[in-house]
This record gives sequence, structure tokens and C-alpha cells, in this order.
Amino acid sequence: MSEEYEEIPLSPFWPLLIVLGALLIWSGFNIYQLNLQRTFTAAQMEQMGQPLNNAQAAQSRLIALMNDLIQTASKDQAAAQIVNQAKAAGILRLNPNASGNASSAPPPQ
Amino acid sequence: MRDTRNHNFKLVLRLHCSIEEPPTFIMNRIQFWIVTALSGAVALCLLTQIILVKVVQREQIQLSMAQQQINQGQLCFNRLQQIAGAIGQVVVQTQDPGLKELLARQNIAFAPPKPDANAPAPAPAPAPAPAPAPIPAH
Repeated sequence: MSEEYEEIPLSPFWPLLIVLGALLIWSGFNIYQLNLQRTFTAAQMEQMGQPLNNAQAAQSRLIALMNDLIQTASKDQAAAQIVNQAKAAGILRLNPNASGNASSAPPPQ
Repeated sequence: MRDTRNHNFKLVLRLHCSIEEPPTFIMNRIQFWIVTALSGAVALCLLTQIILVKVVQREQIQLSMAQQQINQGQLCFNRLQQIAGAIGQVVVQTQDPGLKELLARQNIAFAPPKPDANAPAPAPAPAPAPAPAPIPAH
């Protein structure tokens, strides 16, 4: 019976080395890919800097124009007509809950 | 039944014996340190990978938000042009002082259309500025 289970002195070194080596290669490749992606994203963010500033400027300028237009509309008939047209076109939306000059450009869809 | 009991007893005995035997899975000192160092490197790489994934995710979110903001800005600019054009048109037609002042306050340059003999009809109210204009100082 004991001959069936003849024991050979085995070492886990090589299997472990293979598994760990494979893991190391896989992880290293992933890290490389992630770094590549980060570089690409950073380059994209850098490219977006100027358009982002322009977009923010346009947004604040639109809000300022709308507020001014609504203030003017309280005294000026032509301005009131433009405000009504803008409201009808969905460009301008008045917020009844806001205090003061409750005007805002609707968030773009 | 008896045979089965006997067999189980033998099996338990054999298991006990095998526990008491010295371990056969042995590494030498160098192999042990190699495997340990490699395991440490793998653990470090996996940790770095987790951190990098989080960082990349955050950057991707920032990027998409920036893209969204740019799109919104483009829409805002189009609306700004529409409204400024409409105001300019009214100013040309009615010479409304309030609206003229409004355009001046908002730093919107407005050039009234020049009468052109060749053109069939005068073009109304040009757009305020070709590029996103500077924010008016208040």
C-alpha cells in the first residue's frame, strides 16, 4: 500500500515563481496602460483649457445679459417684447421661487 | 458493516500518521527569499494598479464634466448671439434708447447694417462678436 503513495520531495518554488511572474507581468502591463491613459487624459484636459474658459465666459455673459434685459424690460416696452419672445422660444425661463431678479437662461439640454 | 468500520478506522489512522510525517514541500533559503521578494513586488504592483484605476476614473469624470461644460457654453453662446441679434434688430428698427444702453452696458458691439445698392434687403442685426466675448465688467 505504501508503494502507491511513494512520496517525492517536491518544492513549490517553480510553480510559485511562474504564477508570481505571470501576475507581475500582468500587473505591470496594466499599470503601463493606465499611465498611458492618464497621459492621454491630461493632454485632452490641456487642450480643453481655452474652450472651457470661453464656455464659462459665454455662460456668465448670457446670464448677465438676461438679467440686464429683464431689468430693462420693467421700464422699456421693446425690451419686454424681446423678453416675451425669448420666453416663448424657450431661451429664457423665469424662476418664480427665486428672489430679486428671477431670471436665468435655461440650462442647455 | 463491520468491514466498513474497519476501513474507516484504517483511514483515520493513516491520516493521523500522515500528519505526523515531516513536510515534504521544502524550499531552500534562496528560493524562499526569491518567492518572498516576488510576492512583495506583485502586491506592490496590485496596490499601484488600484490607486491608478481610481485616479484615472476621477480624471475621466473631470474630463467628461469639462466636455459637458464646453457643450453648454456653446449653446449659451448661440443663445447670446440670438438675443443680441434680436436686441440689435429692435434697436435698428426703433432706435430704442434703453436697449441701446443695454448693448453698451453689456459691451456688445453692434454695427447697424450699411445700405447697399446691390443687396435686395438690408441685413438686420449682426451677431455681437464672433468669438466668446469678454465678460462685461460690472
